[in-house]
Amino acid sequence: MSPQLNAPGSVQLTIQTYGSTDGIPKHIELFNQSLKRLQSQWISGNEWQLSGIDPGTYVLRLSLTSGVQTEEVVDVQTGDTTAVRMDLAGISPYETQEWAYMAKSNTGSRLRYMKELVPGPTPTPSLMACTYRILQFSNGFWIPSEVPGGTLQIDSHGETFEVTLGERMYVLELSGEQIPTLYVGLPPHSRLKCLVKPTTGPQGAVHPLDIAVSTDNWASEALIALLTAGAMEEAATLTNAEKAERLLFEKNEDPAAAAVGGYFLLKMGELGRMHNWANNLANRFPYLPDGAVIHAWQLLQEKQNTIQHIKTISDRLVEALRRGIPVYTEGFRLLYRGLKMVSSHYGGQNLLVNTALDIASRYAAVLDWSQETTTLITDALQTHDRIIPVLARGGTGNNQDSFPTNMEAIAAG
Amino acid sequence: MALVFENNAPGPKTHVLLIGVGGYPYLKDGTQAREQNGSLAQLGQLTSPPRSVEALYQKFIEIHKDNGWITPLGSIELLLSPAPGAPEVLPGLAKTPATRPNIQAAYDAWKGRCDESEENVALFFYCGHGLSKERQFLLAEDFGFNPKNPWDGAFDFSTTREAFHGCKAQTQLFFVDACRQVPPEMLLFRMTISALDPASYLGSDCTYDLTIFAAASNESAYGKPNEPSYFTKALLNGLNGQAASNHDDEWVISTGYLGNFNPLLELVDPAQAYPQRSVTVMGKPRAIIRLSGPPVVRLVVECVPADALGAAALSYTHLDTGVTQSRQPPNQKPWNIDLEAGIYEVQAQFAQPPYLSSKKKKSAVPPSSTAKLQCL
Repeated sequence: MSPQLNAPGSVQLTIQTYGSTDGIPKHIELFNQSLKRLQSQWISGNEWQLSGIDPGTYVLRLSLTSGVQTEEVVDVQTGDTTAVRMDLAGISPYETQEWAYMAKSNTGSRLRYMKELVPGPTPTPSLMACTYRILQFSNGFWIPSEVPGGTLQIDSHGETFEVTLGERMYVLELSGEQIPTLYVGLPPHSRLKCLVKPTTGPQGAVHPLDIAVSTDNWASEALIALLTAGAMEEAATLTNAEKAERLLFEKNEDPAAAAVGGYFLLKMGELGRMHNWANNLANRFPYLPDGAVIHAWQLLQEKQNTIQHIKTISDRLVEALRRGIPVYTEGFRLLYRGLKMVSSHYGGQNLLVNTALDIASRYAAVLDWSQETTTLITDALQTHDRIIPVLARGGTGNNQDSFPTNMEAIAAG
Repeated sequence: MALVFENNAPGPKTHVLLIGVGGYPYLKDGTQAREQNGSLAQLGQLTSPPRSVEALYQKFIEIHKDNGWITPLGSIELLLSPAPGAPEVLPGLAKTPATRPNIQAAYDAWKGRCDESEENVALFFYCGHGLSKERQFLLAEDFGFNPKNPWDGAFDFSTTREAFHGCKAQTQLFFVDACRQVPPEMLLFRMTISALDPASYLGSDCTYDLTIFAAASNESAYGKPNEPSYFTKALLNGLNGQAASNHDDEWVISTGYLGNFNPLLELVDPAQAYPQRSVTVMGKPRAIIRLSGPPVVRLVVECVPADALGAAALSYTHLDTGVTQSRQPPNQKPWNIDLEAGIYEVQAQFAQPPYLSSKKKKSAVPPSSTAKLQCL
C-alpha cells in the first residue's frame, strides 16, 4: 500500500460574521463519526485550522457563549485540506449589536439563529421611549454621576450605546412611561457597550426590556456568560483554574475580570489558587464590592479556619454594601447568603450585620437572578447610610477599617 | 411511609426525594375549599405535578434497571397530592400525601440517608405552587388550611437549600418547578415561613452543586393539562440525552450540561426559553448518569426557502445503521425528530418544480441540530 494513501488531511474553518468579531471567544469542537469529542479549542479570531487528521468523516461544531451552536459534517480526504465556512452574520440584526448576540447570555440569540423553531412571527412592539442615567455610589447614597445619560427609542431590535466610566461603583438607571424602573450594575471599566432591547419573555411576567452590558475583555465576558447560564462544562473548557488564577492575578489591569476569575475559582473549589489575591483585590479597589465578597467567601470556604476568620468575613460582607452592590449577580448571591450565615452565627445579635442583611434582603426581593450583572426592578435604590461609619460619612477621616458595631455608636452618628 | 424504593447494597448511593403537589384541598376548586385572602384566592389546582413525579419516578427506575446511575440508586421517597378528578398516576404504588408534616418527615429521612457518605448523591425534585419574595417558598398540600395564616402549609426552600449544603453528600442536585405569582401582600410584610432545615451557620458549599429553580408565571406557561410540566419534559429530555456528552468513549449525562437548562426548555416549547424562566446555580460539574448507547437528541429539518416544506417529502437515513424514516407532504412545519445521535443523510424530494431535490450529510448532536436543505 502506498504510504500516501492514508496521509492525514486537515480542516480549515472560516467564520463569517457581520463585522470584526476579533476577541470574542468561539468554541470549536471536532467529533469523530461516533460523536466522541477529539478536539476542543476556543479561538478569538474567525479562522481555525487543524492538521494531522486521519481521513474520514467528522463533525465540526461552533458554539458561542450566547448559546448559538452550529455544526457541519466534514469529510477529510487523504492529504487534502477541507474548507468549511460557517455563516453567523444572521444572528444579529445590526453589526453594532453583533457583540451582544455572540457573547451575552440574555439576548435570545439561540432562538434568533434557529428561528425556524419559533411558531409564527414575533410581534413587533411599538417604539418604547426611555431615559437612562448613570448613578454613582458615594458614602451610602446613589447620586447622579458626571457621566452623561441619554434617551433611547427602542424598536424591535433595540438600541446600543456606549459609556465611559471612571473607577467608581456605578449603576445604569433605565426608566420610561409605563416601563418599570430598572437598575443594572456596571463593571468598572473605561468603556462599556450596552444593548437595550425588548424582552424575549412573556409580556407582563417579566420586565419589558433586556439589557446586555459588556466590557472589551471578551474572555471575562464569555466566562461570566457561561457561569450565569449554568454551562459549567463549557466554562471549564474556556478557562481552567490556571487561567482564572491569572485573571485574578492581573487585577491591576481589569478588576472586573479579576472578580469574574474569582467567582470561577470559588465555584470550582480552587481555593488554593486564590492565595492572597482576593484580599488584595478587595484592598486595591475600595470602590468594588465584588472583591470584598470574594475574599469573604474564600475564607468561608476554608472550613477549618472559618471561626477564627469570622470577624474578617463579617467585616468584608458589610464592607461590600458600604461600597455599593456587587456588580455581578453571582456576587450578590454570595453576599446575601454570606450575610445570612454570619447573622445566624452571631445569633442575630450583631446590629451591623443585621442592618446590612436587611438592606441586602430588600434588594434580593427585587433582583432578577437570571442576569449576568446585578439587575434590580424597583422604583428607587436604597440608601446604605445606615451602615456607613460616622467618620466616613463626611467627617475628617476616611478610615473605613475602624467602625462602630454597637447601637450606641451608630445612634451617635 | 413515603419510601417507595430502597436498595440496601453497600457503597455510595443516589437518594431521591420527589414531591408533586397538584391537589390543594383548601384552595380554589379544592375538595375542602376555603375562602383565601387577596390574590391567594386565585391559586387553584394543578394537574401537571403528579404527572411530572410519575414520569421522573419511572425514568429513575429505568436508569436503575439499565445500570445507568454512576452512583447506584439507593432510595426514592415519593410524596404526591393529585388534583381532584385527575386520572390516577402510578397505580399500585403507595402514595403519601405531600402535606407539610409528611414533607418534613420524608426530607429528614432522605437527608439522613444522604448524610451517610460524602460520595452519596442527593437529588430533590419539587413540582407545585411556589411564591417568592427575597426567598423562594414552596406550597405543601395543606397550604391555606387556616386562611388567616396560610403560611403554615409552606416551607422556605431557599433556606432549606442553603442548610442542605451542610449534608455530607458532596453531590447535591435540586430541581424546583414552581408555578407562581407573587401576591402583593407578600411584598408588604416580612414573611416568616419555616424551612425544612434550620438555617446553616458557617459552612462551605458542597463540591458538586446543581440547583435549578424554574418558575412559570401562570398555569398555561407551566404545562399542558394532565401532562408532565414543560420543565419536567425538559429535564427528562436532558436525562435521555440532550445533556449528554462523549469525551472518553462513553456517553454520560453531566451536571455541567444539564445545568444549561434554557436550551432544553426551548426544545420543549420555544416560548419558555426566556432568561428569567429558570435560574441555575452550579458548582463543579460531574457526570451522574452513564448511557448504554448514543443519546436521543433533537434534529430539526427544514427547507430553504421555507415555502418548499409544504411540498417536500423529507427523509433521513443513519449512515452507520441504515435506520431510515420519512415524512410525506403536505406539511408546512419544520420536521422535528427525536432520534439517536449520529450522522445522517437528510433529503428533501419534490414531485414537481419549482423546487429541487436536495440532500446533505447532517450530524445530530446533543442537545439539538438543524438541517437546512437548499431547495432552489
